[in-house]
Amino acid sequence: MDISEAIDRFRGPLIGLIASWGAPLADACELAQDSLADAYLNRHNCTGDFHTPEVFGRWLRGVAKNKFRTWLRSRRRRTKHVVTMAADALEQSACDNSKTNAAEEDPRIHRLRHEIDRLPSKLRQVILMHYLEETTVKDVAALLGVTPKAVEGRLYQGRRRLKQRIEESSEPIMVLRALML
Amino acid sequence: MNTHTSNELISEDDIRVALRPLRPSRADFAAAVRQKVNLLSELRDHDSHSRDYSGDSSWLRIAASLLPVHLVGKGLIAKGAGGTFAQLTVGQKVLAIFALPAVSLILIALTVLWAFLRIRHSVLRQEDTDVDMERLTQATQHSSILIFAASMLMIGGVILPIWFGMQLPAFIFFLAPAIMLVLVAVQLSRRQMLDRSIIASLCSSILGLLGILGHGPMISSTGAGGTPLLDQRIIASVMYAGLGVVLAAQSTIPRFNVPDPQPISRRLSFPRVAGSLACGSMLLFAAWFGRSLWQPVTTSDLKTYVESFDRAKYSSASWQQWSVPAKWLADQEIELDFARPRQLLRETIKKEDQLMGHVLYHAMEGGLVGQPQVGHVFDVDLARERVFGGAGVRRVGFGFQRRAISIRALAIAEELDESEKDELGEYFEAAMDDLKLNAANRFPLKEARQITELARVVDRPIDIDVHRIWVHQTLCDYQRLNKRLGQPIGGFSASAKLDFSNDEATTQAIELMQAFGVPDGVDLLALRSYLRPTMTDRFGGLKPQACIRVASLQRLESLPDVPPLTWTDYFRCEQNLIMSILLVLLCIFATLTAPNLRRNLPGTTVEPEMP
Repeated sequence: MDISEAIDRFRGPLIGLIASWGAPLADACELAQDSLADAYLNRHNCTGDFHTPEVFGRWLRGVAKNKFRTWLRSRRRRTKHVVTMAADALEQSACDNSKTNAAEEDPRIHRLRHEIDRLPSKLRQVILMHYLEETTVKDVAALLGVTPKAVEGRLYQGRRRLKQRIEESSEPIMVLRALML
Repeated sequence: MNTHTSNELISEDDIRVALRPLRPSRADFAAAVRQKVNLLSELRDHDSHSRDYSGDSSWLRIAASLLPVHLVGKGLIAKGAGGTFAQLTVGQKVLAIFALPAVSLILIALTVLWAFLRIRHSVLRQEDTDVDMERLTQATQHSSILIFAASMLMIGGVILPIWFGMQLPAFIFFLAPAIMLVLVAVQLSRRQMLDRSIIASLCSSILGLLGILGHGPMISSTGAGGTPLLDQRIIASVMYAGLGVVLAAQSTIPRFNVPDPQPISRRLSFPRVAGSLACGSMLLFAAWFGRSLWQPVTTSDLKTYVESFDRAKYSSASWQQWSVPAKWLADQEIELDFARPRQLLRETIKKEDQLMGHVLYHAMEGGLVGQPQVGHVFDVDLARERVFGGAGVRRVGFGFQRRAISIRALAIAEELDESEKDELGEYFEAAMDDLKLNAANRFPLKEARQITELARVVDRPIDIDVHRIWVHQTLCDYQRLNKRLGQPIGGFSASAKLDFSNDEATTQAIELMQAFGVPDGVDLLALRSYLRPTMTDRFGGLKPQACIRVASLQRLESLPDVPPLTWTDYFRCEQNLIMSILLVLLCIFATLTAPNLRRNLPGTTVEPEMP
């Protein structure tokens, strides 16, 4: 697997995976870049045939996990010593599109994003990994080390949970509207 | 994937719309990953290269060395040990110490034994002459004790110092018995007990062996554990020059000094021709190993190297090597013809090299990309977006390398307004503070130099007084002065985790000293020793590493805080060379003052020469 193929195949799900562990999106991007570079350079240490997406995906996930742990530790140190902008603020400023479109964004979409953040870890993971960049279920499964069926199952549960929560949150408003009418 | 249309599920389109703002740019992401891959691989090449000794080819070392401790270590490295001799395991060290060095120790012991037998044989041959037998026996016993002591010292005094990486004592232990041996021979010859040919043979074998030892990697590459200021292969050169003179004295001079009734055709006997050839070969060897003295790398060579750079063998790594002498020459305001490097840069751009960002950065550092060119090779808008777009320069810690390229391009293009320069000035200060906190996991010399340089280019120099103490402390901490077998000392290490020095980190350290001043804790003699010229600088053409070292040494010597070298410095640092010269002079003296007893034997017609 060459570097271009690795980037194309795993960019989206890897960012989603790291973001699901709790890294702000901008840092998740940097960590994903670092992980891909490290995993590619050290691919010869990977047990098994690294040309196989499943093997490389498993290897990449391990590298990303280590990078994320290191990042967590360094963030704790940084927050003690450095007075810089808060991570959320940085992420906010990094996402130009979200910033510019925030005013005209559909409240329902905004609500949906909020609900995705509140999903249980496993469900949020697959939702982010699959939908962030339209990655195939097979590639998501390769990175997570599970079967594609399992990923489909989690996606199904995630979407159902989201639907339920969106409807629950909109019910009081509908009741109020009905009363007012 | 799933085309479930059930009302129980949220629409896939809604999720896509919700996550769309979070999507990263594909092109930027791919470019960033490639850049990191290149950076890391460059760093690995850099590290592996720094473990090589002065770029000597292994073939040359194999051919030139009889004390191949280092070669054994290298052989093991090739099998995956991944370090220099000092980094081998105890078992591997044992193997390396006792395998091939043992051969040379045996050789030395055999030579001493052979010399002793020759002396004894010579003495016995003189029984026919009117020599006092009692005096002869007493002298032989005395000399045999001395020779035995010398050989024991030579063998016993070498293994332990080598094991602990103390080459200087080892070399002294080689030299001291040799001097003793020559002194014994001089005494015997004064008593008319030794012939000039025997003395010459003894001196030749001593000088030959020490010459071989002198150009072995233990002495020549590492400076015998000391801090020599000259190439230590000059020791070999001195030994071979002495050997040439001794051979000449043995085979030619005596015959020409006395009237020889034979015609010239008969004088050209086989021993004379062989002796002359051996003498000539030794003098050629001497010239070869002393090359760093009579053919040093000069500023003119640096200029030639910079101007003739038309092939980047290792892509961005070669460009980085090129940028060091180019920057130094530019700092000296020497006019350079960049036609060939610019052509190479154009070809690199056409090829769309994946390392383009790095190549451009080093080209800009070397002064190859000026204001008229920067628009052709760099998208200024993209550079601005990378520096100031999004979180931009407010995010300290991540992506500094990528931003550095863009900042440099914007500065060259003069596209920065005052407020942007101010923002960058604050960013550089914050980046220095961040570097101080995370220095242990980063490359502080490289990054500090880069930040300082960028701040200067942007015209917002960082506050030298604020950062001076930390930079000085870092410079002291990163200079490698520990004596380890096979490791040259005095250079700087790129990382706190590495215990060996390399050329690039040393160059960066010197540039930091230029900006922040020279700290008291830095050993300047050791640093000069690390950067000393070597015979191999021109082996197979002028080497980029040699240019880097010469440029760095010239930069160091130009600093106002660095005192010039004095004769006492040379006297202190070149003890090996001085001892070698003394030994050679002693050998020549012993040979020339010895009587030519063979001519006094029955059947000879020529009167003996007296000292």
